[in-house]
Amino acid sequence: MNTLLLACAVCGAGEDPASAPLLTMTIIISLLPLGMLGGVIGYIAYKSKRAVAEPAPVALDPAK
Amino acid sequence: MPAPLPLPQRTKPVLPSAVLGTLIFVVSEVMFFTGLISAHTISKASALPGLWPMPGQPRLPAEATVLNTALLLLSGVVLFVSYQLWKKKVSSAHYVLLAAWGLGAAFVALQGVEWTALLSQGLTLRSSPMGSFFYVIVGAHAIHAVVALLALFGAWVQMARGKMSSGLFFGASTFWYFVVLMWPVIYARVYF
Repeated sequence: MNTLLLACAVCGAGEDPASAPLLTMTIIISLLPLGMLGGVIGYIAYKSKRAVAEPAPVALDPAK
Repeated sequence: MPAPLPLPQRTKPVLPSAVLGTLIFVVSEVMFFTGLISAHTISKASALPGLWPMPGQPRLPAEATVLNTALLLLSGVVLFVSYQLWKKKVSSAHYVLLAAWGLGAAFVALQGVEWTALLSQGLTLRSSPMGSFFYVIVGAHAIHAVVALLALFGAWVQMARGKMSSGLFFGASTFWYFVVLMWPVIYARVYF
């Protein structure tokens, strides 16, 4: 509470203690969805690659 | 000219819809909690010195919650063991899954005890910003934990009947892993 009482009413030059957390959280919130969606897309690509690499199923013979 | 051979139909999708749906759901849920934690972090940093927690308000029981955290993390490990046993077709896998469920249920129960104590000490949803954030973030996590426990219970019933499908196990376990892994982040950001 002391800092509030000592604050200068007209001076805005003080350092905002919330600026660093604000910047950090902005970066996290901006990059996290991109990273997670990239991960999901990467996982789908990996599974597709594996499915393609699997031996192809034998074609059905109409004579049988 | 002989008729072309019919192409074999694809019998297995590259990624089952249940798996893709669960992954998209978890991504959106992670962002939901990240938003809440972000708001909490910025509000806490903006609070005037000595006002977080407000004078006369209780401190959050960070030390006592270590036990809850350990139970939840252990439940995640036990669930993983249960999956490995189920994959190897070990018949006792469903007992291990039940143990994981029990540990998760114990976590939720202990959280309830903690909430009761905090409410009796005067920390409510409207008593202070810290109280609001605490109940909203931890409460949202608790709701997710309860829903995930219901899903795990459904999975256990299916496993005990021998009718478990890999899609169901993946969906239920991924949701539970999300609950387990989200908690340490919430614990570290909200309780300290």
